[in-house]
Amino acid sequence: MLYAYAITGPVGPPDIEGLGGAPLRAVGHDVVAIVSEHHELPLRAEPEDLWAHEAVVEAAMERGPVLPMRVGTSFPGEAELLGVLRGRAREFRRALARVDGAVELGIRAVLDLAPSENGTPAAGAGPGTAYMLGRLERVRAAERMAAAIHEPLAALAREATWRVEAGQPPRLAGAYLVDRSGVEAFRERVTELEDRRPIAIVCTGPWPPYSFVAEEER
Amino acid sequence: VTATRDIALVDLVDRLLDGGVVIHGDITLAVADVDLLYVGLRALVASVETMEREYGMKPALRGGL
Repeated sequence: MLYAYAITGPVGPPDIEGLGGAPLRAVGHDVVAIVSEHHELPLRAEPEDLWAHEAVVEAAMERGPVLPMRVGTSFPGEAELLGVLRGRAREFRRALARVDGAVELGIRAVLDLAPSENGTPAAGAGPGTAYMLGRLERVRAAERMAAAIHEPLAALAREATWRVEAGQPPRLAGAYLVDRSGVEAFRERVTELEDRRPIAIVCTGPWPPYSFVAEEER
Repeated sequence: VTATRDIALVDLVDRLLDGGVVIHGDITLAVADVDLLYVGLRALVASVETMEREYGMKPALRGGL
């Protein structure tokens, strides 16, 4: 099988080894897939394998714009892969242009709400109502806090996407498509936002643009 | 960097599972293997997140990657 890492423009494969030490190949003409050949799925759910997969995508990203594949994508052979590349060539070219010159940065923040935001029971409300109102207020407070972090960062990005993960406390996860030249400014703004609240925000990346390859806006 | 590596791993697995170009259809091989891989990846994230809850995420959060 051909295990696929990423789609790129017409550049050669990166000068590193693929999973299991397999050589990398570029299949295609105008729009190209970076692949390695295996008898069975070469990737296990182990950190080493995941970072090895990621290393190939990142090495490809050094040569030009990339569209990372969903993990685990493989093809029986070149004919099937070339069929997909031909059939979706226009979409892939457009997607490559969309991410050209940019990288993805991720942030995570734990939305630790201040006690005052943690849902004050309304006077005179029964216990059930007070619980629901308190819960609603916590959700709103988490969303306000998330927006106060996300919006100043999104202003520095070509595109952005975010979600608040429910939990105690809730967490913010954001992804930002940022020009390569804007990475430093983005990280500085993260630091400013941390100091302002204060809150711990972890900024990871630069990543290949995993969150910005879908055809439609998500 | 070691301290934040686990956080970065969660970010990576999130992206690998939910991001990237999806090829539809029966063209991909080893569907059962991929299902197993996905189950393994979700378990991996869950174990890192449990660790964060038990040992606290904040110290590791500082510093970035």
